[in-house]
Order: sequence, then C-alpha cells, then structure tokens
Amino acid sequence: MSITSRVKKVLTGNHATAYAVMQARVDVIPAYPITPQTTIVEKLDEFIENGLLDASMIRVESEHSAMAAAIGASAAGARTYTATSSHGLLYMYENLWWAANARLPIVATFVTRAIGPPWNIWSDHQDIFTLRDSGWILFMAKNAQEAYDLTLQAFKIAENPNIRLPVGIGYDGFYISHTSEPVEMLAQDEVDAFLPDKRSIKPLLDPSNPYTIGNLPEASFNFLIRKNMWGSMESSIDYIKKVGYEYYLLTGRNYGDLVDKYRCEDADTIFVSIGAMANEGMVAVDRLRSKGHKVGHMALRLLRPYPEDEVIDSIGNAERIIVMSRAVSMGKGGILFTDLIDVVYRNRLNVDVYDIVVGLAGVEVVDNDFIKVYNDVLDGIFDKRETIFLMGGKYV
Amino acid sequence: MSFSVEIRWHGRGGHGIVSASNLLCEMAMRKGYYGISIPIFGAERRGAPTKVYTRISSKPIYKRSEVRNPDMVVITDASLLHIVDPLRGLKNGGTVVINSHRMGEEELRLLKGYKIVPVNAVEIAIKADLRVGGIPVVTIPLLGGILKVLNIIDLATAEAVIREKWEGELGERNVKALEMAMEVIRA
Repeated sequence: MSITSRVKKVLTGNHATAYAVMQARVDVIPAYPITPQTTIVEKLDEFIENGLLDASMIRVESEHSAMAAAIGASAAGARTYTATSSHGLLYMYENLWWAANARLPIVATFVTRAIGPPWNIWSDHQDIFTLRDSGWILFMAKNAQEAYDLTLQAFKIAENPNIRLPVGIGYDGFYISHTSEPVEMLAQDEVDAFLPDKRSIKPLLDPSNPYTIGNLPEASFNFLIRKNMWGSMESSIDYIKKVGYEYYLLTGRNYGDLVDKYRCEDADTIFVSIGAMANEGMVAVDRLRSKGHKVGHMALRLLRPYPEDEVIDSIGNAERIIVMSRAVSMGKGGILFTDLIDVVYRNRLNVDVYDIVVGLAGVEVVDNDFIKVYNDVLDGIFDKRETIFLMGGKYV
Repeated sequence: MSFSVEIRWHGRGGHGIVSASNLLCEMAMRKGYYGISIPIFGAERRGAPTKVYTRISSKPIYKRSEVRNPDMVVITDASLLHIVDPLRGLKNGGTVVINSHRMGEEELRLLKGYKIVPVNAVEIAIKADLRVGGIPVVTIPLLGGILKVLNIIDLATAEAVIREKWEGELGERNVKALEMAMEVIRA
C-alpha cells in the first residue's frame, strides 16, 4: 500500500531506507547483494513486484557493474539509487570516483561493515571512510529514523543543479541496519512536494547533442574539474542546512544543525563519535551529568563536506575533546580525530584533543567505554600524542 | 508513570524470536511506549542457538548494545539451559518466560530464585494449528506470557498488530494461540 498519511511503524534501518527510496520514486536501482545491505534492495524488489514502485531493478554480476549501471542510468537523467557494504564498496570503488567526477546525482546507502580478511560481517567505519576524499557527500545516521530522513534529503541535495554530487548515507550494519525501532514516515504527497521534480534533472547525456565523456584532456582541465568539485562541496554546506531546516519545519526533526549536539552547553569535555555508538555516548553523558560532570556529545551527522563552523561552534569553551573513532588511518590515527585536529589547528582553538580508536571489526562499544576514557583522561594517564586503542573495556 | 524493561530472548534458528521481538515493540509503540528490538547475527543456521534483545521504555531509548542485565529472559526451548547460559546477568528475582515442553526437575532447579512463567507453548501451538513446516510456532504463545507479565499492552492492541502482520486465516491462528496462552498463564 502506498503511504497516504503519516504513519509510525517499527522498522529496521534497512527497511526504513527502502521506504524512503520507494517514496522518492526512483527510476533505476542497479544492485548486487551483500550483508548487511541486502535487505534494502530485497525490500525494494518487493515494492516493485507489488506495484508500489515503478522502477527498473537491474540485477548485475558485481558491485563494479552495479555502479557502472548507476552511472549510465544517472547520466541519462534517471533518479538512481543503489546500496552496498564493505567488500562490495571496495569492488565498486573505481566507479564511485567516476560517479563523483562526472557529477552524477546518484544516492547510495553504505551500510558500514568491517573489511577482511579475516571474514567479518560486523560494523566498523573503515569502508565508508575510503570515500572521504572522493567527492561524495557523506552522511552518517545514528538510528533508523535518521536513515529514513537523510535518504529523502539526499535526493534533494544531490539533484540541486549547483551541487550535482552523489550523496551517500552511512549507518552501522546490524546495530542500525537490522535493529527494529519506531520510524515515522511522511505521506507520499508530502514527499512529492519536498523533493524536486525528477524530470528537472538535466541529463549528462543528450541524444540531440552527442559528445564523449571521459576523454583525455589537458591536465589543467582535470585540475579544474576537481577544483570545481571543491567549490560545489564547500557551497553545498549552506544548501544542506537549508534542506535540513526545511525538513525540520515539515517534521519537527532538526537536520539544519549539521552537528547533532547533546548537552554540549557549558560542557568542559565533549565526546565526538558517529553512527550507532553515538547513542552509547549520549547514555554516557547522561550518566556522567547525573554525577555532576560537565560533559556533552557531538555526533557528526555530516562527514563530507566537513561542517567546520558548526564543529567550532559546538566546541564552544570546552577544554577537552575525546574523539572516539571506529576507523583508523593506518600509521596516522583515528579518522574522526585527524579530521578534527586540523580544524583545531587552523582555527587556533585552545583545546586538548584525545584520539581513541574503538569498535573495529564490530567489537561492541558501550557507554562504559566512554566513561572509562573520560575518567582516564581526567587522571592524565594518556600521552596526547598517542593513538589509544580500547577494546571491550581494555586498552590493547 | 515511568516504565522500562530489558528483555533477552534465547531461541533456536527458525523459532522466530526476531519477529516476535519486533511484534512486541510494535505493540508497545501503539500504547505510547518506545521500543527497540536488537537481533544478534552471526552465521545463521536452523536450530542453532540465537539471541535477540528488546528494550521497552516510557522514555526515548538510546542504547542499542547488548542487554547485559535483563529484567526478563525468554527461552523458547528448555534444552538451551544446558547449551548456552540464558540466565547470565539476569537480575535477582528476574522473570523467566519459558516454553515448559520437556522441562523437568533439573531445569526447574536451574531456574530456582527467579520468577518462572512456564508456558505450554508446544501444546498451545498445536491446538491453535499454528505450525510452520510442521514445527509448532512457540514464540506466539510465549509472547502471550510476556504480555501477561508486562501488563502494559491490552489484548485488542496485540491482536490488531498480529492481524496486520499476518492477514487472513494465518493471522487468526496466531491470535488464537496468543489468546489461549494468556488464558492459561497466571502471571
């Protein structure tokens, strides 16, 4: 049944995403299954089968082909969606960059999962961070509701003629993809009014004006392609905020504030994390606050473009920031930390920043982990120049 | 009034504990509560021990990690008491909703000190003609036991959710199993 009025249902993150994609009335879905993404495209196939979604599901032989087909469809002007995880994302990788450089407004879900070997199906964020430098706009949801909401916003952002960049929505495998919780969905006519007319997408390919794409131009041409992307990325921040506030007016759920702040006012210590574990960080904040500690939590909902001004704002007068990364740049540090430390340096912020790597390979991260790190930071046991690895409550 | 409960389900692949936990969340949501249902996935095999966690609260729920100290444990098969440790971390005086099929002296001894809610789930499922692939569906009768203990979800709401999940005759058989369980259980 199509959704004629707002409805609240208990859904997994993956099914919430599938509903949003259906309501966005996508035209083409090239897909290849991989855990924990699979139930998104399975559900979409079911919607097509039941006549709820008028889209072409292209069953391809690999993720590389899935993104190749998505590039073709999007270049022809179709609203295009796909989803993948982990090794699937890596197999897709070459074409993910192609899609960005060709400025194709594809929307994709990246259900995060660790990269092997050894084989592992559980969540960490190494896979999505391989796209950090590509030109994809990247969001990270922390629950099924955000997965739904951000998916709808993604189409609007990607298709804005001044942006025209692919948009990815990430969230943790199992902790969000397969966990069921109440999700409020918009009525179909509300979604139709919120999203742009998909026929307004100016196709890259135009049969009446044929030309080749991806030829070998002068190096300076390529330089300017990347420089133009940089400009679109930077200016997209304002539009992402605008869309977020518009969505806020519609639903009461605020996405205009690009940093999801939790009790940061007057905080002397702020945790930073993303995705499923941000929820644990918030529980830790409540527990520490109840004992009189002035702590807050910042969930970075937008990874790229990096919401620098909002991050600086959120830091306020905090004395220390504890960054909990679920992905590490080998030989450098936690990836959320390296992102943040550059903001701290460029803006000469007087704040101590601690680099903690947790939850790799899906090892569970709980509120106690945040509290332990907080106590140990106050006790001064860390050398700030070090990257600390915490696994299951123990430093390793 | 403030309400919150953490439940850990122990079942076997194919018993349907994930679906039952999701149903419970949907029912709780209809009564104005927050609910979250968190399955634990590994290499899934039919018959292998499985787990799922349910949290229900009158306040928004952030936690989505493992339930370590449940208020209630649900066990779909008494033999799991000897295979996994379903009582681990269960709060003192916590509740065990258990399929009483093939439950003997030894199992009762293991459950000593907890509030036991035995449900003759196999018998009820057979009487309600509720089977999948010939195997009695024990999770719906157990859900009856849980509803009785929680006492926050009325039968009409529970039945409406079940009928939405399974339309037609299958829905009616599920409803019948739930009703039969709630009639015989003293909670």
